[in-house]
Amino acid sequence: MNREQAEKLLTALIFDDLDEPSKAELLAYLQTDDELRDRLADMRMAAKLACDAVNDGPAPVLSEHRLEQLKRLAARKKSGTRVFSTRYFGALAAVLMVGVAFVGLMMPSLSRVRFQRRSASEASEQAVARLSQRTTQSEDLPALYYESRSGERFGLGASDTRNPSPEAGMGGMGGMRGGMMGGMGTMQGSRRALSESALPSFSLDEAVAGDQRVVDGYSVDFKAKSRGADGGSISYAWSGAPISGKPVVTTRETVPSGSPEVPAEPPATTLHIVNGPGEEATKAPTLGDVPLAGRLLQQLSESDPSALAAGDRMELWKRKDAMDPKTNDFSFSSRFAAVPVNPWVMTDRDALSTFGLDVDTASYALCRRYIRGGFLPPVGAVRMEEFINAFDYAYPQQHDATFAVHAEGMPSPFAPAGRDLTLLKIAVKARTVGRDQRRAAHIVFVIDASASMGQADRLPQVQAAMGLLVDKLSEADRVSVVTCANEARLHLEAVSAREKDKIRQTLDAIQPAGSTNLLAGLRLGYALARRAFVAGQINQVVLCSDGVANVGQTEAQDVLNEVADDRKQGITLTCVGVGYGAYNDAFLESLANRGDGRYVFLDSSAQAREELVGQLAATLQTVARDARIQVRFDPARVRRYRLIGYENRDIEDTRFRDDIVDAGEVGSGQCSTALYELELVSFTGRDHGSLGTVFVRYRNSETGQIEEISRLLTDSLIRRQTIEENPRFFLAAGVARFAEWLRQSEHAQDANLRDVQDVLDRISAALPLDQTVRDVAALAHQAEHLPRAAETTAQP
Amino acid sequence: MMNGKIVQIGEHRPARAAQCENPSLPRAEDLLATVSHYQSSLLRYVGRMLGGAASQGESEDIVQETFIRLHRQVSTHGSGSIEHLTTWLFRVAHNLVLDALRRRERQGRADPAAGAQEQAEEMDALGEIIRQEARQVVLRELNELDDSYRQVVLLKVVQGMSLRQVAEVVGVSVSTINYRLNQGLGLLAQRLRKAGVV
Repeated sequence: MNREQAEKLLTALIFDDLDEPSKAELLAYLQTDDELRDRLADMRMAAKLACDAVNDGPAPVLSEHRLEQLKRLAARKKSGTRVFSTRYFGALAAVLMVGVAFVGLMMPSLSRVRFQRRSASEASEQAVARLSQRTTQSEDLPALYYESRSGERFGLGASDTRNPSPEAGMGGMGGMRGGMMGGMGTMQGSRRALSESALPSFSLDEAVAGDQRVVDGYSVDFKAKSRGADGGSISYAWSGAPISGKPVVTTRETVPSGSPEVPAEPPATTLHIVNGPGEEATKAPTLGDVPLAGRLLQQLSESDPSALAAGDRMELWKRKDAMDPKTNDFSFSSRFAAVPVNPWVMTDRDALSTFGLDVDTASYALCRRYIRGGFLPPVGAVRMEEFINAFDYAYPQQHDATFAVHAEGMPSPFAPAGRDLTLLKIAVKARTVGRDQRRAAHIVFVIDASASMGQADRLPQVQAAMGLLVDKLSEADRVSVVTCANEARLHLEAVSAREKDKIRQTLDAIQPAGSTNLLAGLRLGYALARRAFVAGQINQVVLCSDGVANVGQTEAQDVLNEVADDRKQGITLTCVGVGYGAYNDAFLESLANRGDGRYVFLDSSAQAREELVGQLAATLQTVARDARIQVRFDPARVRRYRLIGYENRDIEDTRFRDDIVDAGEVGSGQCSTALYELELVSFTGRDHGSLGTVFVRYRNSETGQIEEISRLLTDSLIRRQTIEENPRFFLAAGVARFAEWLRQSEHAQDANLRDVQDVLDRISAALPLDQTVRDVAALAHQAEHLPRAAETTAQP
Repeated sequence: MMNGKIVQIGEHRPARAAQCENPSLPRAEDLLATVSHYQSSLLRYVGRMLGGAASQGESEDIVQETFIRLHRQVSTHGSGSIEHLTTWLFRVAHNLVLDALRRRERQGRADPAAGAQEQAEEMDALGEIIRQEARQVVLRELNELDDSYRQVVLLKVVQGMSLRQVAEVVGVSVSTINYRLNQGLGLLAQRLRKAGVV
């Protein structure tokens, strides 16, 4: 053994890690090397001293409150919870007490809400009270029920309040089990549900074929009742008709094929919702602001997720006019509002197309997450304009005018064979504001801290992203932090962004627990924004939630109205959605629209985090508010047109110059791209010169003045080009086509995913540096053969 | 021949290796038993890794977060996902420590005052001043070691882990651990000699 080898073994000797022969050999060597022997002794001593020094004194233990928290955590069945970092408890408690006291003084309504949520033991009483209140108000609400495969029934609207199920009662918009509207249901194992629901005037058990009953303003006819071979299951078929002009729900009468004795496989239930005669003809049916279908489905999945089966379908019937009901299908997707896609419009009947600008990209991020998780997104989650806007089309920057309008067109790359269609791309790009030109901002974070946010893809993501955003703030900015769980809590009020550590610590210390009182949080957030309001500054509320809120209809409407009021004064709202699967897309989007704000979806990728922070930072530099666009097509040149996407941004043509209309917010450097598919009038030999004109109208954020610009769409914009010549145009077309395919748009019935893949692959090759293009091309490949996500299978 | 020996270092000692499967150790799914069994050693380890400037709260934050993560891991992936509880806990705690150190470095707020205060508090007991002084020197010199050396010394010397366990916590090979341990302990011994403690 030489010295070098022996040196390597010293610690092994100290810790008795050597086998006997090696040990003997090493000891023998050490007899010959005094220096090494001394070193060994030193090391031994050092090890002992280090061990003693570190282990000196009584064994440290966690402080009592931390142990307490861990005990609670251990007692809980499921985890997914963060425990408060208690170092900040003292400061927090002080801030909270001051805040709560002040808010309590200043806002009687808020303290009432808080009082209402005081204890769990009061919750069930609450449910009864709220339900009966709703019952009396429900005259003007449509009654709507769904019967699941298992025979359990769920519904919206008035019904019995004697036996409300608390979770259903608290869970949503007055929906509850046991509402009776009937349907085609197999009642295997459903007696329990029936007896619980104690219908006031009606019981399915008593119904016989030929019965006719009136329930909640509906006349219900029973057509058949059959008992299964096992004697335990009963099938019913029925139809209902509205007595007044309310929306009507019927189930498709899919009586199981074969003999009634063999109802082996319960049929998938289909629900139709048809606008009543009194409803606005062009809108999907809504409850207040919320699309009816999305609400009902949300209600269903909240009450009992197992009620939804992947095969169940819901059909939304939109009555365009009395003669021609347009149908629009979407698979079960409980939180998504399905708005029918825009139809072809004949130019000679309506030459104007008007919509609010939308720079959101949430839908793309959310769908990307579904596809990567192995599912196609629910159809209602696909907002085509947000797909298109998620990509960079390399419009030139501009620094002078607030907006520039870019337009170009070419023969539609995906037009069905033999049809001569033109794709027109119109983009509106906002001025880029330098960072130092930005006005000071007050940002109120309203963070949903309910138990559902505890999952790894939710609160931790929000904390990380908001931490990044705080880094980007300048010293003149101020930050407030509010959380909402059972009640709204004030953590920070208008703290200078100089105190970045404090803000970050506050964000990091948020601990999820309890239910979601989103509205109380929003109210408190807006109260803070109002209190710290400085005219001319940016006053922004940022709501971060998975949207699984126990939102009552009345309250939701109130808050939406309040938000709309504050919008006029210049407080804007950004909604950040997290966590797919249980995620309430429709509510957050309508909230953001009302609040003049943006709506972003945050998934757990770093890319999404950067996008979000970038968007929020852009929001802080809003250059235009209520921006909307109107395109006037020339009937002599354009026979008919259809707008791809922007369905829920629709603005009435006549209100384009009505400056109180609520339209889109556009931040520094952001752009909104719209695609039209056109069928041109065949060339007559005479050059018309233009297809039409684009008008953009908005309020300049800096001056507060209304401005309007326009641009002529000349014929020369339309040029035939190849992917390699103009990849960005094809990118817009390919992404839109992909979205239409995902959306199952009626205009994409002949769409072939292969074509989309091919085009996106070629674009990706033409734009090798653009990661986002590679991503979407990969998504198009991944999407092949995927099953459509249902709420019950969407959980990661 | 000696290269072979070094590999053997970690393989040796079946008796102690069996300790990590000791039935008297708490099971991962029993959070409270795990907390009471491991909290002191984790707190000591984390406190030493953070160095003198660490406040009591900072170490407790990390140790608490470690247990929370354990609970999360067990409830989402089952206790089967944790092969050796001891090394799992120290690995998680160590990663949290690294995060904290990185954060501290980024914020550039190494606060020597906090360390001084800690020392002052610890010297309160009058009769123990001399012993405490020696201890302070040892701790100070320990803090002076590179993080990678200090980590190995703490896990091996103070926690009494086997080389293989240490390797599992640190995520490098046994022979690297052996090298770091030799270097670390050698350096510490040199420093202590210079300081007159050894």
